[in-house]
Amino acid sequence: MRKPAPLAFGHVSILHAIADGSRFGFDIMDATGFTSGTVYPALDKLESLGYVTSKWEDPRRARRDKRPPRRYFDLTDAGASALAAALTRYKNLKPVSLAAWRVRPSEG
Amino acid sequence: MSKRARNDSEGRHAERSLLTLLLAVIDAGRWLAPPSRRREWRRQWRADIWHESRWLDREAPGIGPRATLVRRTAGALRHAFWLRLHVRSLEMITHDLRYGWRMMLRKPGFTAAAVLTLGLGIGANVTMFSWVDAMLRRQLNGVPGFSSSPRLRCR
Repeated sequence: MRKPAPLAFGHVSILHAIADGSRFGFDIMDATGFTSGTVYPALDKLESLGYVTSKWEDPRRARRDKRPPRRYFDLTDAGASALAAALTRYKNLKPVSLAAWRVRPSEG
Repeated sequence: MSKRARNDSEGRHAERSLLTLLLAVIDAGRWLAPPSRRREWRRQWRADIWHESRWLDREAPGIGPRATLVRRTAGALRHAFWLRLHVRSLEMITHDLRYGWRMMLRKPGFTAAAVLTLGLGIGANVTMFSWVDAMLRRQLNGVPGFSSSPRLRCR
């Protein structure tokens, strides 16, 4: 079986935010700092890859609270494995000196 | 009515107007989403905007968070375009297949002629190349020096 391609940084950030407790689009935007035009397509993509699953809130409960039901996202086992693999990949990056580029501390 | 109460009332009215406007943008923008995802797209965005607006009402006064909400609502249109580009291909294939099948059923004479033409064409080609293969190419395998001949060797 073909090994799945490594996830892009944006997708890893979104999986990380979901694993950290963010469950819906606006929450994930707040956690990652990405725009809605990035987060929502990425959630659809991750769901099609099987890394994320979504569930609509019980409409009866929402109706009782007089509000529209929300769509909640959660990690799947495959998503958790992909996130763990990506975090290991980033952890293995060796530190490099950026002195030649005169990086200011706030940017570093 | 005191000045503060009047300001609160005007603020709530502006808040409701903003929410109504943003929900109207979503309602209008739903036509950008592909038909198979339109209903879910609209439902998800309306719910998220509604909840965010209510949360801003309670927790975040000021123009800044509202501007962010407007920007985020604009991202819904990008999401709809993305769905249109990525969901469309599969929908188009199934749409074309269904259309082709309906046309075949509607014009059986044309369908029979097309199938017969294709069948005869494929059959004639298979027969001809099988004959060439059996009579010429395989018989030449027995000729000494055939495989090493530079003029007949397949590259």
